[in-house]
Amino acid sequence: MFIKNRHKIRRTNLRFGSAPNRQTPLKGSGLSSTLLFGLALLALVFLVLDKTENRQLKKLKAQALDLAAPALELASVPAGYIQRSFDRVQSFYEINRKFSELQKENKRLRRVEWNIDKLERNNSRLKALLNSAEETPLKFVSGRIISGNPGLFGHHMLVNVGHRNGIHAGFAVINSTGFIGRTVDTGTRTSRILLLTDKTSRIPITIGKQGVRGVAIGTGSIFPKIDFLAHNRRIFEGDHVYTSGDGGELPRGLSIGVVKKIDNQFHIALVAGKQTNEYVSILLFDQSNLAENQR
Amino acid sequence: MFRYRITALVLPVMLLAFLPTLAASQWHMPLGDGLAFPFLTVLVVLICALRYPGLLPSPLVFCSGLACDLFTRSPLGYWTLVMLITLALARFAETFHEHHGRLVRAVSTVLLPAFITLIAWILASLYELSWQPVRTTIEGMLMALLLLIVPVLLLMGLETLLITKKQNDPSRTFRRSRY
Repeated sequence: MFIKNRHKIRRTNLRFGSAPNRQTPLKGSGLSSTLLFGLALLALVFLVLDKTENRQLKKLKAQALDLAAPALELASVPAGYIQRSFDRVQSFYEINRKFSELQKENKRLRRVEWNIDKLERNNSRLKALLNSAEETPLKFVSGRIISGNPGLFGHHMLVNVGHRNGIHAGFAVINSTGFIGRTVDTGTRTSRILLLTDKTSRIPITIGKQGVRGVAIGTGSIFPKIDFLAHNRRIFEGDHVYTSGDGGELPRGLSIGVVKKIDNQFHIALVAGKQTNEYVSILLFDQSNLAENQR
Repeated sequence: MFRYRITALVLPVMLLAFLPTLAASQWHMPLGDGLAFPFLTVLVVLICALRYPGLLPSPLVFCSGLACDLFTRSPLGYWTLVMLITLALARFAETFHEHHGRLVRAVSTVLLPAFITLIAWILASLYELSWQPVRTTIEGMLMALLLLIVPVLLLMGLETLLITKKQNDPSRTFRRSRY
């Protein structure tokens, strides 16, 4: 009994900011525990609704993210600064190695440039012969990544462009090196991007010069798997992988990466690598718009 | 006294609102990228619940968890549930500590983060209906434990500042009983 009373007094005194001798109800009392249990139950209900992909909840989440976008944008500024500082320090240590690598790459690119020039001339000559229609150039909107950490639940990113910038679900997203994913949810000011590496991602692809068709399947790692290859078609390590545009969801020919063999299975080493860029571009590729333009 | 109370109330709110926002950004942590900041928020909840009992009402923890879920694009309710379980654990631990010696208290306090990691991993696996990577979860918690030094130093600094401001402040009782 004595110990119990002392315990009560001590706990009351421990309250930060309350008078030492005032008797306040003990936390962990019936009401507090019921409230805690009730809130935990509510959280569980949210979790179940989220799992069942409730449309109302999705809409609510998008609206809440729209509201929080300015705060998230503000928070991404120091994160971006830290990332750039780390990159700078890292590049400083690797400067010699990078210099010799760049010299080699420069020599290679000169040869490639000469080849491209020749091919472009050939291409325009052949187009003129065939009298083929010009492809509609793709428009794009660039946005800043305001949130994007791979967690336990998939690989997503949040960018600060949404409906008001003409973004809809299903648009392709690229960074400075290549294709990284597509938009899945859009709010007025924000859009959620599902990355290629996410377990639920499925992208139709073409591989190598032969244009072998397949599907890039996200594995949760940085190497998506290649599956559903056409029968009797062979692919090799180092072959380039592009979007095939099959299904009309994504534009054709966006660079994804190169084929890499891991444990006797074909995977893709992404050109975008780890998403370290601060900005991404969303291609405004809409089949219905294209059809209207061509009419 | 008034200023003291206000600061004492603002402190956890600020921490719990601030950390979920930080959790949303790309920090490129060497370990447990994406989980370090949500776990840090969970650990701050644990510390505040143990150190400042009564200042951390469950609705505040609930809101902080929801913010964490939204900003980190986790399933709505996941971090909320983890944080509420952490709060319940802290409350239980406090009662448990009252009746046990220093060694048992120290051991149980050290074991709490490990137990929270286990709960977080089980919840994630249940949600996905498949075993989630344990290593990532552990790495996230380890990184959060390393980062915890920042909010702890901040809290300690604030406590010292507030206690020396007013000698007649009730926090003196707090200091005597806690340190």
